[in-house]
Amino acid sequence: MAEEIVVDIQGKAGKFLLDIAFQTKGGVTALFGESGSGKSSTLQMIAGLLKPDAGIIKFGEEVLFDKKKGINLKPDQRKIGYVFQEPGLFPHLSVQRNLTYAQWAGRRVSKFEFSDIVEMLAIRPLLERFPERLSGGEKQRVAIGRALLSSPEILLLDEPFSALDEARKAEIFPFLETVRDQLGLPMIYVSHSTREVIRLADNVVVLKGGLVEAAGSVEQVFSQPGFSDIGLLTGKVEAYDARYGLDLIDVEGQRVFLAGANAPVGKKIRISIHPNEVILARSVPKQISAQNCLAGTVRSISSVNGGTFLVVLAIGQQQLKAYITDKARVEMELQEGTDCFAILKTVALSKNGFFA
Amino acid sequence: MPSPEYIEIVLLSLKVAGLAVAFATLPAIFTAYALANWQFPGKSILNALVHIPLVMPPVVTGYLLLLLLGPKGPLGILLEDWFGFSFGFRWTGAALAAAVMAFPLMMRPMRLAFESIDGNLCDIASTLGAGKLVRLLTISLPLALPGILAGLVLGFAKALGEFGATITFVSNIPGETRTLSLAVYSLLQSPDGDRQALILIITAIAISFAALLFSERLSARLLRRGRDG
Repeated sequence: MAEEIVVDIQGKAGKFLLDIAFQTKGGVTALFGESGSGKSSTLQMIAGLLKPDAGIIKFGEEVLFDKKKGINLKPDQRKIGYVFQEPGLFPHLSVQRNLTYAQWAGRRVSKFEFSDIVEMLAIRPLLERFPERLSGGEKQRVAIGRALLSSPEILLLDEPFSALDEARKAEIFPFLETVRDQLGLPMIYVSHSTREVIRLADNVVVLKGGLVEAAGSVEQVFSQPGFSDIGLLTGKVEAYDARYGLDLIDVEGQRVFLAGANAPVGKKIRISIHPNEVILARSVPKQISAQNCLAGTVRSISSVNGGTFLVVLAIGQQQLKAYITDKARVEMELQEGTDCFAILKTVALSKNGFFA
Repeated sequence: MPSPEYIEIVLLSLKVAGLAVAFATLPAIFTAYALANWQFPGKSILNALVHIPLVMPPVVTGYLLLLLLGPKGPLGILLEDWFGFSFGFRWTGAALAAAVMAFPLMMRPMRLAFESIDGNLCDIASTLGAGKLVRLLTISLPLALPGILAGLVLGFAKALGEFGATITFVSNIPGETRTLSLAVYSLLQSPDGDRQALILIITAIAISFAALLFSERLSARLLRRGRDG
């Protein structure tokens, strides 16, 4: 299933020009950027709903678009599941008929069992209903199911949660994670939310003004200077402390307590920490309420603006960011290579942490 | 008791209106779909052309039909030669005149219905493997159905009441082209026809009313299936 997806396209999207090239091999790839950066247009070109002026799009050996060879498969010839911002359920068809549309209208044979998908998305009670009698979250779940049952080789998601409020998002996100973890279907996910990208994606392609600004793993890309507000640590669930309801996470051989991760032991987990939430200390403090104390080495210190400094701390192979004042920097005698400790409040982690 | 003439007139009118709608339905759906979905050169000209019967005096439309398809018209002669078929002074000619007059009225609600369909739905259907024809049959037509039905009812009502083009094209021949409206006109010309004319007028009102009720029922049933919120 891990076929390489190659996208190298140039074209017009509305008023501006797109020149996008990236490749990815399975997993979840996020197309990340402000609105108007060309994310959705790129997705539509991959699906065949928009035509690039030049370039190539292929999955493994299968060429979907090649300007030079004059190949341009129609959307119904590309095996692409597409979930739009609006669920777009067919209003005249029941949920059941919507879900099976690709079979009875598109003559496709689903590679996933109908009942498996229905269970996974918890939509069995809705099958007989018509779309007008579904909530926004239910509609989007049905739309995801409908795309999955069209026998796709890749799933494209165009900000599928942007029309939903926070509570609905929280309700649906786990379903998407289940899809990612259980089906092994490559996904390209368009989003302008770093939170969603951190939570869902393996790789990220950052778009700006129709061009690729950065691409790579989420950890690589978000450690770049342009993303100083995003701190990420990746670890593995080691144990669950039932007495306090805390998960014990192994990060580079050190321990971090996390509340409400709700993940099985052994699972890889991504924790995001805003640099404002990190306290630095030269020695291990005693009798402090913060539960986490990670040893690290200062990798770099840079002035951000008016007396604030960004300290990048190396923790094993990973890095953590902290904002500190000039006063703290001078008094602690921090400089590149200084050993110090990062103090993290578990409460701040559970509040701002996102679990991958 | 209704007289045989009365029954003949009513049945002929229903027959003519029915055939007129049958003539116009497919072209109207096609034109409505094309105007709603396609961009092509001459689109505004086509749009004006199909609306012309709505603004032109019906007598003129009838006269043009006579010139073109009448017994001495070029197309009329061709039809006569090739198929031995003629519209001239026949009830089928009355139906054709009614169809031409009803066409723009039928097409309008259909076009609005096609235009109101969320374009995303067809895109989604295509990503689910549905080709053009399948999308038309499974998405566009079912969703436009209330508008199509409204067009059919409007067209039927218009065809039933059509007067000017009919009398110009196929004249006013009892038993052949004398439909309800033409019969009412003829009766009002004679000194003691008022009472019979009144019966026909009440009949016309009843038929129109029944057609409207029927279409309301039908579209209410279709609408109950719902729209995406």
